[in-house]
Amino acid sequence: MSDATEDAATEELVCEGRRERLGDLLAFVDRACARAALDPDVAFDVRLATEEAVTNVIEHGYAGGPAPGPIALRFHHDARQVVVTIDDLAPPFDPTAIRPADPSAPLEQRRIGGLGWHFVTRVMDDVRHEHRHPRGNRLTLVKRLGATD
Amino acid sequence: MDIVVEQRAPTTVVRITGSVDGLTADTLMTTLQQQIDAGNTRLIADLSGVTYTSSAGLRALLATVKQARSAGGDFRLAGVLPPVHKVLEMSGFTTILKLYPDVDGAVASYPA
Amino acid sequence: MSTPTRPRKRVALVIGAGSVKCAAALGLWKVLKREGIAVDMVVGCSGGSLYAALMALGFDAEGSEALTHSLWNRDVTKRRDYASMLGAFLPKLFRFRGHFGMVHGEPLLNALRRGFGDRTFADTVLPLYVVATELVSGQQATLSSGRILDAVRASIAIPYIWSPWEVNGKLMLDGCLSAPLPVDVAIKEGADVILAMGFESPYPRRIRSATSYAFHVNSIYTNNLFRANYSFHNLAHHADILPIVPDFGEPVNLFDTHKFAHVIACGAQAAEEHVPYLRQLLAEPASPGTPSAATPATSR
Repeated sequence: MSDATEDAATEELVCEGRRERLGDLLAFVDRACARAALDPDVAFDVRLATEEAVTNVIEHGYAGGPAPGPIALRFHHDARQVVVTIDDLAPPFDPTAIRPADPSAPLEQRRIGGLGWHFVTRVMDDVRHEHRHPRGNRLTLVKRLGATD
Repeated sequence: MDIVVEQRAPTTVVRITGSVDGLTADTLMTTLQQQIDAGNTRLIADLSGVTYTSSAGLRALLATVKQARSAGGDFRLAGVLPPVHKVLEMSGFTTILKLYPDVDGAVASYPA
Repeated sequence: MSTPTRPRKRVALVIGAGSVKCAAALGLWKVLKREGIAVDMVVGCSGGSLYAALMALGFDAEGSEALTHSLWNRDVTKRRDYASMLGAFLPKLFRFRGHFGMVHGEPLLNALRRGFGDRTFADTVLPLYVVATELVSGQQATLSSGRILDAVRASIAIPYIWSPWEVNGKLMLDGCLSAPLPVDVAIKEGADVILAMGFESPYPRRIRSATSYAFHVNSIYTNNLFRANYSFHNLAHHADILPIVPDFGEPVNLFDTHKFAHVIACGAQAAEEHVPYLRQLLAEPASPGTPSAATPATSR
């Protein structure tokens, strides 16, 4: 089911959006960061944002449906920036607009709506969400290189 | 992620190495929970070998600290590396958890 | 190892930022004394640090009230610090010091000297934690050693009004910049039941001076931070946080020192509402499986 391809500076992994594939998705990001020879701090931020974002798709995007759909994770790297793109076929869902769902729920039981999403926006320089036609979402995470933070 | 549990009276030191993330958080939480259930509520996590954590890892830490405190103990962190510290700080966790530079300091922080 | 048992729940009193409104803590203090409910630690921020320190030093409510009147009056803010302002607005001519305050710090310092002298944290009868904010790093700082005067002066260093204060070699600003209601300190220090007396700052109807503008802006972000932090602390705590938010029925502003009696009465009233539940909480065992029922010790 997974299919990794590689060209000059863009790599892609497509897999099922279920918890069991989180390991593959994270391993893919780790390898891509290593190949790009990213500074460890930058690699940390990229991995963190990617983990939180794909977890979001798995646990929210596909949670309501009968079966999980695919996730396409793309890693692009050039001299100026790292761009991680996450495509899914889940119902329209804008994590940039979500609020903590249930403020009375214990924090450790709440999902990315709170903490995880906070991390994504804190560690990346630019975060964009768009609806794709005819369905699905695209999330674009940008980390600029050489920026102070 | 690897976990080694060591009793250092009056505390229990849980040495964790690797990544505490969505893949490993459940295992960590189970291990820590077992210690609390066994009455070892004065817990210390030696995080000097932990290079990465995400919100999933923090959920495990928070669930543990709340259980340990409810049972009359505490859960303190030792040897937190800078990237992990950054995550703890971003989430406000440094204000509610006690952190020590090393395990010896954390052990000494508990009354004998 | 056997399960550690605790004789009773540890009670923390946290007094948040709120200038004159913080005197409401004295009303709460009176109620706790009357009920014989012991407090194991006090935490204070900004104006709240003043009352936290007095309680920790063993002053009773009446003594604190009397002292409040002599500490807190218009003399404390009357004198403008023109040198500091010139330095801020004409930095080349008058050398900017890296920070400034519009109000001269000397009268404030004299008032604090009357209250605290050279007493240190070691002189307290209850553990005391005073929250300030490091100017350079922006980090919350929890002060628990050294001179109480220094800690309180740092904790009430309202931005733009009073200059920051140096403690342990670091310049410190008002604690309300990082933790207007520092419940987190009580959580970290092992409190079970947390009595959290917090205040939202009223907004003035008219802004007629640079100082009232500065106060207004401070109030906006303090109020917002107060709400955001409080929800996080609630989620993070393993036991009960009792929010004690007095209803003053009217705006209480920074220099409404003639309202002290009213403020204290409102604090007592807010506390009364929590007494039955607090009693119930303290009567429960401290931890699951710990049979020892709580017998609240007599408060000091």
